[in-house]
Amino acid sequence: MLAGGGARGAYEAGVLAELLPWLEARDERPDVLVGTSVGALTATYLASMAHRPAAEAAGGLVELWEQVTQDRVIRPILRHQSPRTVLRYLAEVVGIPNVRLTSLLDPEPLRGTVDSWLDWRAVHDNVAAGTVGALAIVATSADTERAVVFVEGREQQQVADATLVDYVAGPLTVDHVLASAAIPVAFPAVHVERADRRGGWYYDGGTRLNTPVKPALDLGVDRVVVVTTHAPFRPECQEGEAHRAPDFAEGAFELVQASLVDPLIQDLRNLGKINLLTERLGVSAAAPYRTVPYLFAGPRVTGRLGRVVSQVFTRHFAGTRRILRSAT
Amino acid sequence: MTLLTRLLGGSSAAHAELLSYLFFQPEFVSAAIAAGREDARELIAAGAGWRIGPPERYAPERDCGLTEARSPRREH
Repeated sequence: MLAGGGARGAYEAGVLAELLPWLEARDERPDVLVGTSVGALTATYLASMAHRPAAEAAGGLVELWEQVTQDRVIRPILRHQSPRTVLRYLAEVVGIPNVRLTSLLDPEPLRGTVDSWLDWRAVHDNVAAGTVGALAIVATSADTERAVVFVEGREQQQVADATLVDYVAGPLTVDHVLASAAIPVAFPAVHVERADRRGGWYYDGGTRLNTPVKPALDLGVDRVVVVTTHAPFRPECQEGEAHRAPDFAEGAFELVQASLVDPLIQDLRNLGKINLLTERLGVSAAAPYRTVPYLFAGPRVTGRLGRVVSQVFTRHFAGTRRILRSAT
Repeated sequence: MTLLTRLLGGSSAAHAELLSYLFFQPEFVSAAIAAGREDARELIAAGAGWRIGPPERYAPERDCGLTEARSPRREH
């Protein structure tokens, strides 16, 4: 199970570079891959490499990440996006027909980057051969505002909680991956065609299900490797200066925490509690629940990647000249 | 992206965490990969195994109460 996190996906690639060969050596390499947002991209890449040794697959993932630059994800902000964004916004305000501001950033380069990462024929072949039990990608429907899990391969074995998640079976495409990574406000929604002919617009799956433990369970896994970029705890004490009012970015961060981190904490706690209950009651008495051991592979302390950003920014991006050069 | 960083302003932990989602700069990517490798190696070296119960804190992250008791400003 691979959580979302945008550029933080590089951290997950680093984790997998060590963890995947270790799991393979123990004959525990995962064959069901579930991902949200950048986790969906990683899951799909791993599905395409499932027939190759784990070290080769994970090493290839790291090599791809090492080629990532800002202009392979979004168009330059000042030169391309700011004028377009302002004009579109003004046009929408004054009511010019068919002109709408759909996002603040333009991720047009991302489609080419994702396409270059993924060998879809290998994905489909590995699923058909059973090397990959299932590949599942989580997105959020802009129409129903529900989490939708697109699944190629095994169908979910338990009855899904209808209040939370919809499942759609069928071959996956690059549109599913892009939809899963379409961060609302920042990126535009992506239109996805569906095998049931109910195509629609989708946003980043992280808005509803950033840590897709539940879909993994519904797909019948007997163990879960949880690869994420957040520690499964809240900070023990407040970050930042205690005596000043939070600014807007800190307010935005609270929204991010609420949508991405709190569900991770709650899902793992719930999984752990249910496991303890099923262990105590016995499997038959606890049905339809079952014990599903998990391996948490992520930061063991909160704020881990924030500290990495601070170090990198101080070292490489503190000067005004560099700021202007990167923006144009 | 660094312009975005400046627009976000500030240098608190929350700003850095927020920025990390969109910081597609090779310098950060390399550092994040290294951090992931390091954490996974620690996990394996610590005898990683399948867990049944809820997660437990790895270790106290900071002596918040003690620090606050000593000083009106929090130390980092």
